[in-house]
Amino acid sequence: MKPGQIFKSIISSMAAILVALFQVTLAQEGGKALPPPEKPASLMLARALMCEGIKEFEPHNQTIIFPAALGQAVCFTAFDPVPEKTEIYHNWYKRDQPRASFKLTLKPPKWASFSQIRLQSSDAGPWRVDITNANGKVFKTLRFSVTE
Amino acid sequence: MHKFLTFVSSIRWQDILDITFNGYILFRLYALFRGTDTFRVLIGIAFLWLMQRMAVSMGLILTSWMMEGITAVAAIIVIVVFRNEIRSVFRARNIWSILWGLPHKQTRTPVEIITESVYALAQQRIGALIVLPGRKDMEEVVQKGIPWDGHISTQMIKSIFWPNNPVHDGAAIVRGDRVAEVSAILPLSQRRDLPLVYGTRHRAAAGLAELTDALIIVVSEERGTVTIAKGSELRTIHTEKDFKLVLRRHLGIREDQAGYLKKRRIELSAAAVSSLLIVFLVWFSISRGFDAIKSFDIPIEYANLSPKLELLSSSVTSVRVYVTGSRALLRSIRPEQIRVRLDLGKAVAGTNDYAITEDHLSIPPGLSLKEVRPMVVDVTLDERIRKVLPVQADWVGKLPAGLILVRARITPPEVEVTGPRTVLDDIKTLYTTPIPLNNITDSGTTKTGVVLPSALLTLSPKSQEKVEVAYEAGRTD
Repeated sequence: MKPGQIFKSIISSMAAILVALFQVTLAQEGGKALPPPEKPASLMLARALMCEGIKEFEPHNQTIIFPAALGQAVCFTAFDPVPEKTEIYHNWYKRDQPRASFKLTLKPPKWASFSQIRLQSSDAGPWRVDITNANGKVFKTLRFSVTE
Repeated sequence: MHKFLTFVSSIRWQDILDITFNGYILFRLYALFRGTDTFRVLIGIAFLWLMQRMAVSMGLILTSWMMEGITAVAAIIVIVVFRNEIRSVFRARNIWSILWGLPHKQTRTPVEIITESVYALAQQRIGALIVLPGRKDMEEVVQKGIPWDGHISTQMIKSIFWPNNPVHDGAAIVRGDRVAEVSAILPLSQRRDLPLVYGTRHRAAAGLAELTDALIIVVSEERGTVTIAKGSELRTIHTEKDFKLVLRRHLGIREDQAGYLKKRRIELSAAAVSSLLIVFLVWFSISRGFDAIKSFDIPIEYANLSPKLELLSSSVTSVRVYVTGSRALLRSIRPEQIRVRLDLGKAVAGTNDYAITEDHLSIPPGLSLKEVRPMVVDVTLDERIRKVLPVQADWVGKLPAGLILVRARITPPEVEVTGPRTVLDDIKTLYTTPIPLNNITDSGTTKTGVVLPSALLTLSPKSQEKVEVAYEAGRTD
């Protein structure tokens, strides 16, 4: 079975996958705008963390332990700057075995996005999420555990 | 010819020692007991044993069982019945003479003195009874006389049998050049065919001659004759020349001493060769006559594996080796004495096929390879590489209510491991031993080990076996 098919089947088996894209300006966060860059900057990962959920466009309860009873795990990433419209991936692994992959679209000038998976008790164990670009370059790896 | 060479090459040094040792024992038995009844009975027992072996090889169960019993009983009977003869062989001998020396008949007995004395006594019609012992023990049949131990001379013999001498009755026993005892009482013969002219002295001589291999000289006081008793024969010797001849024959003294010694050497050499041959045949019948097959499960040993390569797997870890040889030898063989050794010096990464041949086997001498199963062993090797892998905490259990772990930092974050390329290619992360969450109440650190997911992996010497996990705890919103 091809990796794409694996991912497809896993994705379909998930109860819900929420891919929300929302644009948040740093001006809103910081209250003032940054000066325009002098030259085109490359794509930069500003924040990446695991959390229990998203509340008001922000990660809620950052953690590295996810009891299966919690029902979900969320990977939140924020990129700044985003020079052009581009695609990144959240690749989820349990003990080095791929379990899910999400393609997320980023739009200039900055963008935050997240992916989440449903949890069951059989998912207990160490996990990781590789945040990569389309070429497979890993921006960051987030590690966490699912417990029973 | 090939079979002969194979057989010769299969003889072990232990076999040579075995045959030589037992051959020498047989030769010594011959040298010590030849000419005695014990030797003749021993030959009879050996014949019985041979019959028993033949009965076994022919599958005659009852006969072999009976022969075995008779042989065992006969061996005990020999010891009981011939105990005196056996004792006489070993008596008065030191260990060296038993192991190495040859028994000689008394060669120093002065034949001339005895002859002169005997015929002088005969001429004077003085009765006399003189015993020259053979190799058989006489203790059971001769009533012990008076110890004398005097150097033999004509005067002494004459004085012993002088009619007024208190010890003139009975027999004088001569050993070597000494008169050992006098007044010894000999057993009387019960034969009815003896001439009536023979008196008690002659009956005593005949009685002892019948029971032993001694030579007894009788001088008749009535007739002045000299009679010699040996075996069942009583013979009157008229001339000193004939008398000396009989004495010399009994004492093993040859006129032609050089010729006698040569003949004796040939006899002993023939006995030695025969002993070796007999033992060799017995050894052959026992060790080679009943070949059997036995199988052993032998673990495969690998040698000369390049340090750059790693043994990933083999189709089997042991092979069953079927060897043939004598049952006696097979019974004594332990599996550790058989080795299967594969030389991986020319092996390459990937699967290598090895056909197990005699070149790969080490089998004790005397046994030969019959079969090996499986005949082919697949050995999979891989390139040995090093890889730096991140370490991740493996949390288990349940955190107290309201508590969360925000982040964790592992020191060192990476460790280097060594192992086969194909194994390491699939491994992206190493995990710690499970770290329980139940006891965590606040931020802290813990030390824990790193789990290697394959037995083929090893931590590089520079990597630590334990890592430190620092965790930051927080409260849920």
